[in-house]
Amino acid sequence: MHELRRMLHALEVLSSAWRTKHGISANEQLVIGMLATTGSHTPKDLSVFVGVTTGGMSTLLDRLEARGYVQRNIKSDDRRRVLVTLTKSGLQANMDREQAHATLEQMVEEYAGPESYAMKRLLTEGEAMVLDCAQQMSAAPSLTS
Amino acid sequence: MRQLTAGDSMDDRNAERMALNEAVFRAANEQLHGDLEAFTGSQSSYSMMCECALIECEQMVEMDEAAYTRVRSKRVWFLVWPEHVVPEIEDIVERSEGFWIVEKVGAAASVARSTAPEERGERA
Repeated sequence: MHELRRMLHALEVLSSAWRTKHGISANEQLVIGMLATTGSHTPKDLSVFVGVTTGGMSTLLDRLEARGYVQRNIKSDDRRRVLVTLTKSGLQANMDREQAHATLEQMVEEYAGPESYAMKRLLTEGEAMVLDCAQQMSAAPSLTS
Repeated sequence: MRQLTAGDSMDDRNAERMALNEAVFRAANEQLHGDLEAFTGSQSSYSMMCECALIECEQMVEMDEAAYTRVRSKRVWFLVWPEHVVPEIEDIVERSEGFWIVEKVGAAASVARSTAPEERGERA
């Protein structure tokens, strides 16, 4: 189905434009998106979600913090414990992209009855399949290594 | 949504749109406050998002637990950076060091009530 490929491509284009506008990487985008949709997390949780080492996540968070998108909150009685929270700048940046996603969601919601059921099933199963592919890709050795 | 300046007039639809925007930041602050409270157990100060209607605002506001609880005690009260006030939709009820509390009026107040989280304390 050519239309589906074009839709997925359009979403990639949107993400790319968003990253360019805000000067962030794809992994930084994942962190901002996760914090905006599921709330605050520890650096370790974020490193598992993004698929980078804790050291890599530390560097990534340094960059996001320097740009004012996230804050590291350190527990006063145990300075090893850190919670990463989104700032208003981070939320504003995410809302830029969310507007397009919300409009898309609204378009899907406008389908009724069996069409709606089929659409939601396609999206749910499609999401699981794409994430599964991503996981397998991350686990497989690189062709250049 | 464009930023309002002094002298602009505003109809109910604009007021509602601005109030909806502010409600997004209030909801984000509620999530943030809950996360920080769960993480620290009890924390003396918080860095919260300014809940103003100004589109370009990216300000964070430092406040203590008592002040945050106070601003959430009324559904029409919002936390803003000093002077981030849109007089057409809100009145200033408190000027504190580093933050102000504003109260929504008219159509904006209706939106604030309908989008409000669980209250702590008295109802507006």
